[in-house]
Amino acid sequence: MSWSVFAPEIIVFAVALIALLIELDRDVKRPWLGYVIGMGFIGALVADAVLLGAGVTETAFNGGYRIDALAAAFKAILLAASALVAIATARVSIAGAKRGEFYLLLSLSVLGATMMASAGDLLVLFLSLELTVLPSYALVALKRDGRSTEAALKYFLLGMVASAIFIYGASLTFGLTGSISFTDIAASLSRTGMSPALVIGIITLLAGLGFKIAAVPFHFWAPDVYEGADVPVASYLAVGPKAGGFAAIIRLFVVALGPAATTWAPLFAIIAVGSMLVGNLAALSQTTVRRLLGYSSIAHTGYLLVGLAVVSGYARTSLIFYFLVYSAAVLGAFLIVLAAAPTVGESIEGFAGLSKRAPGLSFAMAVFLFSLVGLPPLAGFIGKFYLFSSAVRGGMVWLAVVGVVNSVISFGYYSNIIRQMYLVKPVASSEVSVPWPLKATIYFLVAAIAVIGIYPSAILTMLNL
Amino acid sequence: MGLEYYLALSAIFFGIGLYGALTRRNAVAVLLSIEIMLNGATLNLVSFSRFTPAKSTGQVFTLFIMAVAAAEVAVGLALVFALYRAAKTVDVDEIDMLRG
Repeated sequence: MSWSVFAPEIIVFAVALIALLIELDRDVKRPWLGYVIGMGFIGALVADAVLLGAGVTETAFNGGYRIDALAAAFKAILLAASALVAIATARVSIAGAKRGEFYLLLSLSVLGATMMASAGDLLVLFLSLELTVLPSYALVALKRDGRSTEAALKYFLLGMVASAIFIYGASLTFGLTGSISFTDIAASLSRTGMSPALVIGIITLLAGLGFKIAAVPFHFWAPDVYEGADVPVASYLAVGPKAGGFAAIIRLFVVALGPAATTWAPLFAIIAVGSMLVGNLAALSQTTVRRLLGYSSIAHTGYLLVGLAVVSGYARTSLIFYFLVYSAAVLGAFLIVLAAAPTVGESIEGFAGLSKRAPGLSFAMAVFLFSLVGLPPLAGFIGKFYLFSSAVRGGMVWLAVVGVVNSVISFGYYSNIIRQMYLVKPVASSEVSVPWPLKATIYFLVAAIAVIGIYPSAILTMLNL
Repeated sequence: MGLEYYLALSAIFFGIGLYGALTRRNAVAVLLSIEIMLNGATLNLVSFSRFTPAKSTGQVFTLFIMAVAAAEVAVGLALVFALYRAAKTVDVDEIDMLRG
């Protein structure tokens, strides 16, 4: 084992230290800090891409840490999204906080999520999970007003309960299998089979991790947090902790609890259907864009979980591909809110006639929303196609049908925003001015979604789909 | 005393904590309830470690949980203070600025 396989984590940690040190110097305005942090994340992304390209598979620290294609793929998505958030926020004012504080907490949370993607035993998984969420509680509260503090406290209390349930599940799993290492748990499971206590252990582990990805019924924090937190924070939270959470769920359930797949796969199917329905139906009645995106992200967790309800490698690869596509679109939509909110506010009515005031932004928003619906030729269509076709292949046609029906429902509220932007007369005519780094990242995401949609084989061959 | 007694006690701890976390309205009391849940889990870990020929994994896990719980309480109390400053209450039912 060589230390070079930890290059992404080491670079992200260095980025956090840089943010901390710069924050000590209180008088500097630091508009350049976002670029420095963004470049750091891109450096980590390059290191990760090299590991992914070389197909490095390493196990370190007595099985506690695994570097393989699954970890590298999720880390790549996570690091790319974090780099885009850092660069997009470089010239945006971060409410109530010092710029360095924001980037310090952001990079620590990113570090936790990258480690979560690599966790190989329950202890490392627990520690990295906490490292991911503890800075994010503080990030949500960073704005220091009543609403963000309320969102942060709700997020914190629910998150703590979820963590405690997760640890209880971990303790049961450890006691019944005699090990915390994922491979040893799998070996012990296939030897001894299931027991009722172990079923409780699996359900509690699922509850703890379900909170992180905002799956029903552990989703209550998501709309509040996406609405109450500062927009840059919300845009990170929609992608970062979810990337770590999905990677950890895939590894924990497929690697460690693989022999018990007949127990947990139906659970995932139920949660998937519940998340899709609750997310989409609640989103229909929302009046602010951010809350709508919060419910839509719950629905997307539901689509993604189809990839776990169907137990096959094809389904899991579809999950990773759809996660990439979802991340690009939801991050883009949040960045549009970040760009437009100072001028038009955050209510859906505020977006009325935006196509006259900011044609570029409106077009980008339409691309992001259509990709979330899954309309061809955008990336979202390819992602959903693979995800639902994996359900059909796995003999769960009803799950694919539920997914398609939900996509149709979701068209209702996404198209409402697009209708406001293009068909309703504007209430004001002032120009929407957007800092150039933010504009650049938004157009980069538009290009990414179009390219992945028209030419998906570039990514798919990388994932062996 | 056998392992079952310890497991039963830890399940009772966990249940009391979960009940408190879901029903108490004072944010500090919810925090306390969560700590009781954590105690249930750690008692599980330690007793499994004691009664199985397995090594000291459970004890080490417990030490990590204690350290993380301390960090969590620090963040949690800071949030409670911030909330009190903003809303003059620590009652989680009375704060409802976010709705929908």
